[in-house]
Amino acid sequence: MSAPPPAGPVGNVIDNAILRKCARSRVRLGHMLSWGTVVFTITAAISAGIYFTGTERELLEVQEAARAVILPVLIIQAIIVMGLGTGAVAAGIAIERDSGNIDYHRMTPMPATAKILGFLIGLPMRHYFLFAVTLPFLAFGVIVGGFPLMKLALFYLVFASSVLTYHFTGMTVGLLAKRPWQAALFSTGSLFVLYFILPNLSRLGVTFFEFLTIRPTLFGMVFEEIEAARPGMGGMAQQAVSGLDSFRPVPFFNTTLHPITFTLVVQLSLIATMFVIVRRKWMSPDNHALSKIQSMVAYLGVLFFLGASVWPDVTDIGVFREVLSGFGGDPTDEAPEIFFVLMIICSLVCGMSAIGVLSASTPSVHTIRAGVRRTRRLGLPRIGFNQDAASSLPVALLVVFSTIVGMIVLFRGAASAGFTIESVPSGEAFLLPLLLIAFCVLFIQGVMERVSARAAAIALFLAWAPPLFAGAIVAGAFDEPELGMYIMIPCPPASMTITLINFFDQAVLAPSDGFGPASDGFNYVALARTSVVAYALAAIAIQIERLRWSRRIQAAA
Amino acid sequence: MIECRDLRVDYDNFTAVHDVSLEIGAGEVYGLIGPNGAGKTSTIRVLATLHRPTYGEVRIGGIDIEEEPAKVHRLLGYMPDMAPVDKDLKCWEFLEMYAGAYAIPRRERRKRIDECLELVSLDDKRDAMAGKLSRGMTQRLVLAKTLIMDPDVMLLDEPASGLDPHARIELREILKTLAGHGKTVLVSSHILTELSEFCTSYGFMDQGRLVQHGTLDEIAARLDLRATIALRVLEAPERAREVLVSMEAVSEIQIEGMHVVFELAGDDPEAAQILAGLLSENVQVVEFSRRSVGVENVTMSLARKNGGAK
Repeated sequence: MSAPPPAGPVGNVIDNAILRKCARSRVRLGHMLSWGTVVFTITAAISAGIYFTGTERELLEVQEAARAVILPVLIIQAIIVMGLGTGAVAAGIAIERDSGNIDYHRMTPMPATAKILGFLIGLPMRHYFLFAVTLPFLAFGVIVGGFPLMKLALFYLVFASSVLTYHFTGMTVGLLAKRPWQAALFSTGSLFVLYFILPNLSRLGVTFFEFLTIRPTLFGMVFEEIEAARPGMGGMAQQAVSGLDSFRPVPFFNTTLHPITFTLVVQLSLIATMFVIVRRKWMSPDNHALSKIQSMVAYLGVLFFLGASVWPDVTDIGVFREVLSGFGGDPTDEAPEIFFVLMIICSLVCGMSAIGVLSASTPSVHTIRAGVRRTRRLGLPRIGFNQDAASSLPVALLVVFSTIVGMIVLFRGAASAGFTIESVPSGEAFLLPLLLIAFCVLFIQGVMERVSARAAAIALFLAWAPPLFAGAIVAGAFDEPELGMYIMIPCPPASMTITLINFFDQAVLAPSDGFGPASDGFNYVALARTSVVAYALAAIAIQIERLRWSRRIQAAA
Repeated sequence: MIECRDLRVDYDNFTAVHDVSLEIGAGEVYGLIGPNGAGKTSTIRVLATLHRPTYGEVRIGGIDIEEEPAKVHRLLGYMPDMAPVDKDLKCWEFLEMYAGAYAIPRRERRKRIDECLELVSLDDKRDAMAGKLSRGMTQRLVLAKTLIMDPDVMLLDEPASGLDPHARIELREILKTLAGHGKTVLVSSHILTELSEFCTSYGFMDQGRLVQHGTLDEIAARLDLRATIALRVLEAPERAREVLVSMEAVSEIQIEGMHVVFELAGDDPEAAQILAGLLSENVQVVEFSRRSVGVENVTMSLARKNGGAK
């Protein structure tokens, strides 16, 4: 063989080896012709059907009919690139990992970022081609319909950002899921949740999730333009589709942001988080998804966006009325209830995020043992704080601290504004939900670290779900609501609800607005105290056991 | 070229590699031998930077693999057990991808790909789809991929697993050629005959430990293994046996037809003395050959020792 040639620059995106490989394997002439024909035919049929129905039956002017073509083409594009493309990224990367090909790529001297970009752009390349097949129909709609190009450009800016977000989601899931089919299923499922479930939280003022999708921009940039051309056409379609999407300035703490700006900020934050996860997994499959510091930053990010969404709801009467308008009835009467529901949602989002970052950063007992051995062998005093083998207790403590601070700030802000709660109750009622958060998080962290994330998930399901169901049955079927609630106490959402009911019972606008059925024999204070004490005992026990085990490991190493 | 000190690899509660230290010089062909589950693959995956060890220091070409993995990647070629390929790519496209990934200039790539395909005797399959190749051809294609950037160090994990005898012989010939090119090669196998013809030194692993390593002669000396002498007589092998029994350097005499096989304590002078003794006693010796200590002898000896220890 000849001598090795001199190495050229690696990581050049244009000369990206992975991108070229994907281009070759995924857009061969045969694939392009067969899939291209299918997509072209479907898009042509839909576009022609809409256009000619409008013009030939004289239902629409030529310009209006051409504009009407734009929306279905955009939906087809979204299905191809977002839905199918995300599945292709997730399954493709999972197959690369499963087959072992990914190990070859790990060993090439290309920078990790170039490899990630190569797969990110390369795996859905066939879908980009199919997207391009639909463009002539879009061009027809835009040119003949006189659609403003600037609005289309802004829409595509958000479209591109959304595609990147979903494809990164697919790649993250593909690297984390055990099997390719799980990756495809989970990534497609998460798109469904993103589009059809989470946006409904914006009804309660949590606008954060609504802007993870292209829905607001689609309705704002496309529907409103169609509506402007022929009143009734776009608006009807908009109502038919959701009834909650509107292209409005997004309340963000004490200010508002342009919806496109907000969408881009939210999506770029997500992309940055997923890039970190994917990069860590590229560097080594043994790496945790996030380091300790990255987990902390990720949780603070969620808290920041959540706080930014909720703060105007409880401090700005105008924003709050807007939220309440979706519920009907008298806003003033419902104010504490809505704030209470908002707090439950925030608790759930924080709880899920806390479990997420703890799962991403908590070491297994085996990782800890290996870390202790390594530390001993290297003669180091202890495992470095940010290393995977280090305890995730600091992450749990930050989660506790930041959540408590966030709740205090939110309650005080609400009390100052005075339209949801009259004042922050002092003492026990205020302290109980905060203590419950602290003990719950410490308990979960302890179980995850001492047992294992999977065993913890099963154990926690068994510890939480049966009491919740049993409590509900006892409360409903046997008409024993108080006993039912006592039974539900091991389940954190239930115990959080109890402590919050106790809080709101003492924080409403006026005594006559007594929150909840306080007068029918219920003793919320006792229930809340029991919840907190139960979790305090569980958290202290598991943390003591964790520390004892950790000492045993240190001594044995 | 490869230095590995106190390497330990844990998987949950199981220790796959237990404090392994080894050193492989430049141009050496090192055979890593051991039964399934001995820790060979785990060791190679650590050397290939694909698995982080519990602890241990590994240097390749003097570079610490944990500190500067990207630099090490330029030196390493890795072929895993049951090596996968991109099934939707043609053979030349598969190689071109890695040529690009290793930053081989575009104008050089075609020549390089053709050279590698020729070396592994796949030049006639240049435009075949990688997914359509037989198992043996797939292994050879992956070997070509491993060679594409002409690595200084090659890590080959069970390169012949799943191959039929013919493909195995072909692969062995290719590996011999590579050994002749002065590459540092670490090749693992549990099929002993694969390795015996071209390895310059060996490491024997068992239950995660490197139980013996060095050249075969060094290992044989440590294990006190004796060379085997086989002779064929024209008639009366029993007579040869009677003569041999009286000789001090001879032990473990066995008669197989007209062949007499025995172990020799000593080297060439002792062998010459024995032959002279047989001839002086009128034993009609037709053939007299010395079999040096082989990989099989060492493996069997270690297995016996291990069995005895258990």
